[in-house]
Amino acid sequence: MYCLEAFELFHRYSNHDVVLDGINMRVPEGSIYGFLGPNGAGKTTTLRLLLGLLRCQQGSISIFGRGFERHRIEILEHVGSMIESPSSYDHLDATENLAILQRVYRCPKQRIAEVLAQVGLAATQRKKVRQFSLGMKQRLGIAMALLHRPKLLILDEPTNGLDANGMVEIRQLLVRLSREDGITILLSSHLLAEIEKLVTHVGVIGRGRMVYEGTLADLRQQQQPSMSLSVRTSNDRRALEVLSGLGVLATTVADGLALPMMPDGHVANLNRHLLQAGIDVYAIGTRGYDLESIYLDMVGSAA
Amino acid sequence: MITFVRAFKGEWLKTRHSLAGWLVLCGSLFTPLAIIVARLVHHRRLEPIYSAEDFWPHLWQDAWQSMAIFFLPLFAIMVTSLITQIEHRNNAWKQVHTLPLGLGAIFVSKLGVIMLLIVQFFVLFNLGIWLSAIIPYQLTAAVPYPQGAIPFGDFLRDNARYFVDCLPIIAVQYLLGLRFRNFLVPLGVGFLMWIGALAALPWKFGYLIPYTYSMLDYLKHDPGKAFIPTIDTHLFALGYAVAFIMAAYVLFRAMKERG
Ligand SMILES: Nc1ncnc2c1ncn2[C@@H]1O[C@H](COP(=O)(O)OP(=O)(O)OP(=O)(O)O)[C@@H](O)[C@H]1O
Ligand SMILES: [Mg+2]
Repeated sequence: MYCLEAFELFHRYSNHDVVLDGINMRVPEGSIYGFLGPNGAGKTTTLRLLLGLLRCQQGSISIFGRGFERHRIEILEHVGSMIESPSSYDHLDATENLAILQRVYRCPKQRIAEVLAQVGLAATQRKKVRQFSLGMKQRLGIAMALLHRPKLLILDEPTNGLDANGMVEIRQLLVRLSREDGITILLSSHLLAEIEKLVTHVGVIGRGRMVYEGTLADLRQQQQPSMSLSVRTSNDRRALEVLSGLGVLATTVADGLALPMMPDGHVANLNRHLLQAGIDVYAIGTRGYDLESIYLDMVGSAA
Repeated sequence: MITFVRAFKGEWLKTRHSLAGWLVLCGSLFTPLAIIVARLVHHRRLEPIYSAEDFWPHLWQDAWQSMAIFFLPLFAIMVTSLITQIEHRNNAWKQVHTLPLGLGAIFVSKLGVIMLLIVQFFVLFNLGIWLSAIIPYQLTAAVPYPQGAIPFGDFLRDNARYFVDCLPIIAVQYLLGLRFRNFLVPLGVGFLMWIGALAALPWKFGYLIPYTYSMLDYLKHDPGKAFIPTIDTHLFALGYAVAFIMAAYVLFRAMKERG
């Protein structure tokens, strides 16, 4: 069952640049969906479309199984969001900002104190948002998105401006919300490493197209066949000869030699032969095709 | 209707600690305060004034002069710009548009807040006029209590007229304020229109400018300074207000990018 489905989204801004070119997106219920892409790829544009902040020019969006255009208000009752910079009122304090939303959503007053505690802003008292740091504003933005216990949370770069500690806190909060309350979370980021520990599903966007969509586990699977061994020695050219004598297909790369993956016993044997040939071995390791490079490959290939 | 009430409560909270309260206070009480000070300074000459039968209508007329020409139009311009600016300045339109509220509720609740501020302004001003009669009486021993009854009916009718007079200003300013991020646009256009209205007072078609009505309403007691048309300008004021509010709503709905 999908919490959010978008089909063939297409968007051009008034200056006629096509920014989104057929985006398909399916966010499973209860998932934490990481929406990845480099700067200017169209993440914010997509999320704005999903929330109705931009008029849908082509394609369709359904949330909670209902068409967005026709059921906008009912859907928005259960969606919390923060797009780009937080939208809090400068001249009010955190509690007053939340009180505005509390009136509109008609949720219990004690929710205000609850969400402030959740994002670590309980101690700001009567401080005006004008006097908040960037990270504090970001936290308030997240609190505003959480106030009415949404079923779907849409966050655009939520850890923007947070310190290392804050990032971990917010990540833990999101995982807890997903696990305990079953909230579906869609969050964007331009860094895979930042959300890798958090998400269950990923969608990768590059230049207005979805270049990958699936579970994080599937993405990891993809890297297995492309793994290789890397070897660094005092004399790579001699080592190459020794290796070809052993029947191992090696190639020279920028920082040493690349070998196909092999069992541990073979690696030890190979090492012994190199040493006997008078070659010093500095390092043997696996050339991890890590998620970052997979992601870079994908985004690059969309060009 | 219920969503309107929810939206309105939220909108009203946004005016807390903002300049709106100060604008209302200063704009409405400046003239009464000036009258009080002037009367205390010239307290020896107050006795005949307070004994006069038409004390209240006189005071009323004096107080409305600066109000009708100056404070009321400028207050309407500034307060409308201020309320619409709150969202632009805080990048908050995107927040407002993702609330479970219809566009109509958002539009009307904001306008409602502006109207309520205008009503507060009128109430405080009326109170101020009363105080400007009472305070000099309290503070100076020789002055008698004002003669003559307060003509409540006349005052109420005048209030209603001036209120209608400022509606077209609010409507035009609301349209501009919603449309333009930069607050200099609505404020600048507003000031220019106000100056234009002042300049156009003696012109026989001056009443076609939607910013002139409170001035014309006042100056009909003081002909010679303005060309007073024989037709009812309040109908024009209402017509303009309705037309511009509808135009503002159409433009508001048609926006492609919401925040
Ligand atoms: N209001 C606008 N008018 C015209 N073009 C725009 C507008 N907003 C964004 N764009 C363009 O759309 C493209 C995608 O922008 P978008 O903000 O969606 O990227 P993003 O993936 O969110 O990037 P980032 O990681 O920097 O936030 C960019 O090329 C940008 O220049
Ligand atoms: Mg963005």
